[in-house]
Amino acid sequence: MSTTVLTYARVAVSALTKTYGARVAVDEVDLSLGSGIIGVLGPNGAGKTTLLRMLATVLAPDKGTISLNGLDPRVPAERVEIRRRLGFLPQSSELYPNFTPLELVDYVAVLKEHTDRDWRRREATRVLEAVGLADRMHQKIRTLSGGMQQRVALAAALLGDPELLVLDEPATGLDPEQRLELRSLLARSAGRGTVILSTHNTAEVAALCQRVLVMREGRICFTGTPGELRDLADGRVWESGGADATALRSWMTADGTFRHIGDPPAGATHVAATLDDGYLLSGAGR
Amino acid sequence: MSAGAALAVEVPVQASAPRWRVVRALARQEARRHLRSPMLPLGLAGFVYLAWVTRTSDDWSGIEYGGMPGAGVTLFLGVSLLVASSFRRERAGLVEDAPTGETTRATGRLLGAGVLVLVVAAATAVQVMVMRAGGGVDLGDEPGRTLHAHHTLPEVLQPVCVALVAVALGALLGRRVQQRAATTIALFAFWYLTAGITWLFQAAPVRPWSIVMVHPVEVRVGPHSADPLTFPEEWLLSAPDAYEPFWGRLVVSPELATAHDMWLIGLACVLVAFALPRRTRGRLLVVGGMVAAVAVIAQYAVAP
Amino acid sequence: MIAVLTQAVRPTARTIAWRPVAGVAAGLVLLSVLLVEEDRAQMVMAWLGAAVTASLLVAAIRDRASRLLAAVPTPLSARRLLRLAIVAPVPVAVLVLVVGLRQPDGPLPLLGDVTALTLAGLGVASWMADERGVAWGAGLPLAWVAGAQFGNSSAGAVGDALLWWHTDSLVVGAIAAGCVLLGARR
Repeated sequence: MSTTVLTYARVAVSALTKTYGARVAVDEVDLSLGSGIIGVLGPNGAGKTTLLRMLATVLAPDKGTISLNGLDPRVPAERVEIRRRLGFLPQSSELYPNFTPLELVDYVAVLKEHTDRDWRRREATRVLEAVGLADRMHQKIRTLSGGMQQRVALAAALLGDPELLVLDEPATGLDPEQRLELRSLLARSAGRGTVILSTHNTAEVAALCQRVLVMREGRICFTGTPGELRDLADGRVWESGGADATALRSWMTADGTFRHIGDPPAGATHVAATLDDGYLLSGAGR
Repeated sequence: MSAGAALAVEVPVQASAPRWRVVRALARQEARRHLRSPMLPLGLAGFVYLAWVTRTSDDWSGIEYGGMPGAGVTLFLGVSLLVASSFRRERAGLVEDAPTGETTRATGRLLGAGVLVLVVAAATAVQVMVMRAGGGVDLGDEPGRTLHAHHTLPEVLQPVCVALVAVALGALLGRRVQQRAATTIALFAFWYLTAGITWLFQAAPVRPWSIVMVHPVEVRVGPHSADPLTFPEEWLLSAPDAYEPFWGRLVVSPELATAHDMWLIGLACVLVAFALPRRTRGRLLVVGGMVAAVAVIAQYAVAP
Repeated sequence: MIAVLTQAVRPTARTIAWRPVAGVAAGLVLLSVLLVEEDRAQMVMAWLGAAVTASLLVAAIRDRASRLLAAVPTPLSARRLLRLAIVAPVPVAVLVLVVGLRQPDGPLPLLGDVTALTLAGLGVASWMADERGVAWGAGLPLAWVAGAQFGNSSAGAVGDALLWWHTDSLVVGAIAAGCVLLGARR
């Protein structure tokens, strides 16, 4: 596997567009991403999965260009080269229930063109240990829980320390402890390349990502650091005892008070903004 | 009023619904899904085409009469595939946590499939009415021939009973076979052979086990060289041909047709029983098995 | 690539659903035994055998972990070819032995039919999105043979077209192979 040190942007996307019938899933997206962990936030149907699938070379865009590590996935030979340096975790995937995790990861390694059996066995063991499945690697996949199966798939994506790791909702099905383990695992991977992950969980983004993109209706409506996203809500969050029609959004909290975001009325009781508030305001166009 | 109290008032309390109401709701949902599927119009189009081919064909006398039940082959396949996909939903992980038991869900799915049986019944009724409106159809070879043959009621009911088998088979394969491709291939092969190539099952020893039985039944009455004018004039006759080089008498037997319908109903019960959970299948299996066994024996007994 | 595919043979074989293959093979054997005395049934067996074998082969390219493997460097077409190469010998051998050898013209025309139908199904599968494409591709041989069986009395071009897989299997196979190649290069 190549270990070339890259000085250019690892991921460059220009006017990327994908439509499904009349629905535009990804609409003229431009991006330039370097190394580190990049979180993609957005509501269901915002186009996150479509964007990630295009970045993973699984889905061809209708329009626009992608450059991954300087290579163009439209060119078959370059697409193969990208895939040699890529790890991809799809949003949901069936696995082979009659395989053990070790057998499955070993099989994926074969298809990733690693033909040295000894290296493959060591690497499969390493990634399975990394995702916390050291004691389960000889058990049939059908006997593993959903969260464990998700970690098997993640282990397959981590094979060979890929320079680019594309993870579509990697924390789905994981319990809080496993999420913590995932975070440290990804933090280690980010030191070697680029990790792009989609999530609904702002806490994950806050804890893990150097950059965050917010997608709504196929477009990127915010790009910056998690701190900058939270700053969007500075001075625009207040609480009261009832609903407020002037707020962009209001919701009731566990203690029965209402929390509002938007342009606060005079005399409002301001409270500290969170990343959630910033995320909710990121699509408000202000 | 506090917000918490307001919320408590707004949330409706979900009363547990009686079992029959759940079954009815499921059946309606399944029926609607079946009626919206493109598989049904495709099956119907095949049925109309085959009915039209047998009506307009002059390949041999009696083709329209004998081809009546087999014309539904595409419809039967469509019914089986639709019911299989309905029962395949039973394999989804979501249903494991449902408060409604598997037997209740299966009952709902089967009742929902009733709409497909009604479609087959309606299509058959139209087909038979068209034949009757024309004053009956051609049957038999000279000198034992009529231009005004009508199907008896048990014969008319045969496609409906076959539709029951189609539903039961779809339920069984949908519930018990993991691979969709395997189910599709198996159903295709089954209906291709049993309803598409009906002559395969018309030899006397295997006839009672057939799915689609072609009426009338042919009974050998004389060699190729026999003089047909020596046969009673009320007999319908089948002239010698390449495959059956003898004179035959065509016998329409309502008793045989009735027993065959009973066999199909018993078979459908047995097949459905295997689609149900193990603990609830016993009674249906025994009753269905007995009906089928008695019907097969009866067919051998009344066969002309 | 050869080294990769060679090492992938054994695990790929384990990912294949063998029960349908065994079912089709057993069904063909059983039917041929039941219909051994019936000369008229040989054409039925040939057509049915060609349809179910082709459908089975196309269905066999479905990989349940295809999403997980979507971004591996070994192309989808190579992985599908490997699955086909692993699956095909069993049902095709059974078809030739129990049906083909009893055909008046020998097994070659039957092999031509199966090849044409399989390539047609693969052509559809390679041009449509993953799972849906395989389902439609596997359905095509069944639908085409059923159309020929029940609709070949149609006059003119439609009736002829329904039989192309049988009467012009070479042409159908060549066109379908072209579609498969173009689809694989997309």
